[in-house]
Amino acid sequence: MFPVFRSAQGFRRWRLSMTALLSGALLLSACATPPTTPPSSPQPPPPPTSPSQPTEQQQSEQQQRDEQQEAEEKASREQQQAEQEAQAAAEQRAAAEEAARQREQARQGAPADNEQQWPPPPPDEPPPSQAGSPADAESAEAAERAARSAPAGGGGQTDRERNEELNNELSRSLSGFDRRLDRENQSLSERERAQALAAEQRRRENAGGGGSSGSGQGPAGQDGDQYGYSAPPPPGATGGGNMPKGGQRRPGSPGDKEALPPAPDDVPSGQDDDIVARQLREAAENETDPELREKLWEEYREYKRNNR
Amino acid sequence: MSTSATIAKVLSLSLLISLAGFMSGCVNQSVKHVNATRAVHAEKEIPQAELLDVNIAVFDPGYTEPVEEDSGIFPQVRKAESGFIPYRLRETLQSTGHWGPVRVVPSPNTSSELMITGKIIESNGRDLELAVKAVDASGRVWLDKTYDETAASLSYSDSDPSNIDPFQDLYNRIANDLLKSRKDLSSKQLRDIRTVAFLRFADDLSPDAFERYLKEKNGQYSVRGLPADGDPNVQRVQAIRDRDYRLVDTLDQHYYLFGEQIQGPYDEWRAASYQEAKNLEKVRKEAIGRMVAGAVGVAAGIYGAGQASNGAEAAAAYSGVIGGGYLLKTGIDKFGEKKLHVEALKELGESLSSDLKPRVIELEGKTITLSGSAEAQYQEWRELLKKIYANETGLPPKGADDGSAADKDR
Repeated sequence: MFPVFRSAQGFRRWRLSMTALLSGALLLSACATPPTTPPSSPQPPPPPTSPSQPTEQQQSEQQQRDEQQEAEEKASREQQQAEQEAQAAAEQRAAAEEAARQREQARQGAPADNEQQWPPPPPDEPPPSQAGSPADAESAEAAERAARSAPAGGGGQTDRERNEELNNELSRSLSGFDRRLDRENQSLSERERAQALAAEQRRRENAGGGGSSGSGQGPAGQDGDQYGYSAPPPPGATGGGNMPKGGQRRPGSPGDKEALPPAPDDVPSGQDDDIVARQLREAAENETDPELREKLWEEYREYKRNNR
Repeated sequence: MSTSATIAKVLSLSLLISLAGFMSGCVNQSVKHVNATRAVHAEKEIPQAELLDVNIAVFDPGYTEPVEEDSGIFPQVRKAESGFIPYRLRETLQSTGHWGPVRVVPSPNTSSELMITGKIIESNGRDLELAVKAVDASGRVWLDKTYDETAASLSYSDSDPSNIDPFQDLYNRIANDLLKSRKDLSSKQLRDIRTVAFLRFADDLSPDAFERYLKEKNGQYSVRGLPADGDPNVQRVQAIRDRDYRLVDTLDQHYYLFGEQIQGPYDEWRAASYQEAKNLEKVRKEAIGRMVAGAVGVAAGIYGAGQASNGAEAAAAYSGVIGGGYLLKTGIDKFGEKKLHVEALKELGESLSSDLKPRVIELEGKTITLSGSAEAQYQEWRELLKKIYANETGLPPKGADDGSAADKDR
């Protein structure tokens, strides 16, 4: 059965398809080491041989088959081309690797060669692979050329690429260390701040009880510092001279724990506090000045957040 | 025997007993001047290239486990002091202006421009004795001697507002001795120390690249040559050294905060310990004096009784025996009092120990962790530098037979 063409265009299309099919077959047979055969496209259906006029449905189906066949052939050609390119690239990589190996062997050489090259030259002298025998140099240059042409990420890196990679690795490592130290220093800064606040708190408490040192008269001009921002000086502190020694809280003063407000609700429990957090918490709990007390609690919250 | 002879005998016996009594009450008094030695401060600016960086390693606490109970050594207190004393020395040296950065580090480092190490021989609030050694990067010993100091009672007095450390004189003497050693060196020698320090640091990180620039003979290092200008190895090592400086600064900050943190409780302990140690010494001397005097009185009385020729002489001799016996008894009582002071000192030490223990553990934990991870990091950098050097020069790295060559091809 032969196809019946309604027009010359249909015949030309059929003829083109057949020609392409034949070309593909010839190409396949010509390949000595054929690449993996792509999934074979279905053979075009035999052209109808009936001399009778095809129906419109038949014509439409035929047209669809032609289009499908054409697309499949195109895909097949593209795939073949891609595989050929991949094979060529693989061969090139293999050549580059082989060249790199040869270069490495030339560089390492025999033990006697190593002794000749030792002690190492100053860093500004050319590397020994460039200062070796002419044969070695040629081999190395060829290898270098082959390696340079190899795609990045392949097994054969150039010295320069490897050097760059190692330097990048060193830079990354240094940056990582910097970040670690930054974190450590941040933690230390917080700790220092906490200690300074706690020391200030102790100083205030001591200053409050400081009438004990003998005369009972506070240092002139230091009253404001001695008693905090707004807390009034305790009775006797300015003249009595009978307060307990530094370090002890003033009896009956706002510094007494019973008289202090409890910790804010949003403050985490102090069960897992480390030594810094404990100091901050104690300082906040014992602070009489509401403003400073809130600052201390804020410091405590921040410290706990950062050290969670 | 005549009456006059009897009187003479009685008088001499009484004199002997009185003398014994006087001896028993005799206590040495010494006058101690506070801050008698001042640290010499720089009067003019020192060229940057001659300012040596000083590292002070945490001191050897000066005891071995197990510690004897009556040794008066409290391990936790000593451990705290082994960090606190370097911190005080750091503050002193830094304040003089003769040095570059002065830092406290957990352990001696051979590439420090000037490394100070020390050992606590005695520390009890009243006496401080330290063995101190300072060696520069080239291996030159700057000082190696023992320093001791006794605190003045005024140092612990509430009326002293200066907050000067009771042993500041000792730190000042160390600082002045170091300055004297520094002044003995020429400008070139000082610069060489800095160069050697860099090369030793570089050699430690990348011996393949830097070994050739250093000469070592009997622990003394000198510069054999210098790397070429723009040598990338130098730039890499400098980048790592900058990190090393940051690490040392961070470690130092830990010791600084620790020193600030324990200053209060440690000062209180020292003040109380000083008083107790002083009382203990006084009691000890009194007890010994009384016991000696009592024994002499008793012996004299017994001898006098044996020689007595009449009732008066016998009565005087018996009174001598009784008086001597009384002194002997009070001497023994004083020994009991001494025990009380020893107990008090022990309690004070234990109290401070329990206060310091978590802080010491925290400090040790932080610094050991930081140093340990940094050392691991340095090892990684050593390997990287080795690979870079091998890659750049094409030479197999030293120790290639131990598998590092395989790493190179990795």
